[in-house]
Amino acid sequence: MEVVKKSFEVTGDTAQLIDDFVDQNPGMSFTLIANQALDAWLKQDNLSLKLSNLASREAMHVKKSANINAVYINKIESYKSGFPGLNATFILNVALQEWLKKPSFVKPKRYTDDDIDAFMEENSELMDELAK
Amino acid sequence: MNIIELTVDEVIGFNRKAIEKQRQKDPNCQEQHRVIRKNDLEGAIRSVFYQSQNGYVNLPIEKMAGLLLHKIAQRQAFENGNKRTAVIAVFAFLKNHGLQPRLKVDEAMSLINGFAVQPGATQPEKTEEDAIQYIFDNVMPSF
Repeated sequence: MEVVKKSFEVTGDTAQLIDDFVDQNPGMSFTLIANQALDAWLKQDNLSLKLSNLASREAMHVKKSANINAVYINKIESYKSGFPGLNATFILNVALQEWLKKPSFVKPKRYTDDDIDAFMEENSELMDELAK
Repeated sequence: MNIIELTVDEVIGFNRKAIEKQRQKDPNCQEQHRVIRKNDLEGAIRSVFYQSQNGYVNLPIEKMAGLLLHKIAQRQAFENGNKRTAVIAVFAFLKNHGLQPRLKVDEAMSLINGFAVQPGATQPEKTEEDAIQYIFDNVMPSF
């Protein structure tokens, strides 16, 4: 999990829980876990209250957010004015801890031929460069 | 949720698609879809998805994707289109697991071209560790 720790600033306890979870669910990745955890967490009914409680805590010194869907980052940003000090990585750590207690996830769909065609089209510049 | 492994036949299909696409774009394209080192390709895929008694040795998904990128690009199992095939394989594998790569042309080119030993050098500039880190840093959920 060392590479994960470089990319996402998660606490040691949470990283260990994620390690254990991935061992039991080898098809899961940290990126997927992080985003699903945030998705679930940010959909809570009592989100403002939760954020208010979190904002009163001191341990909000986390550095970096990466590989998180912009939708979630924007949603967290929108709460920042009311709760300065909150940031995506801190929220991510909280969301992960809660999600890992009761994980639920959507099973991804397998790629199709159309997906491959669309990917090549969207990345045609890269494909052309690689062909040289 | 389990690992959905890529098969050798799927990867061969990606090469076919990459070559067909290039030929559609450029009628003068001389590229051929041909597997010239199938054993190397089989070995590459097998090593990525190798399982010990404790399960897959290359977890998590991002690491497997990085290894796929490096091994398929570097082993040159196809006559043409090895790097494009590697990139498509990464996309397909990540997609099967709810993820997608974020590929910036300059960064991806620098990484993938760096897998080859340049004239005058003894070692390639980029290694499989670089490929793994690149995937970790450039992957997003696809939902």
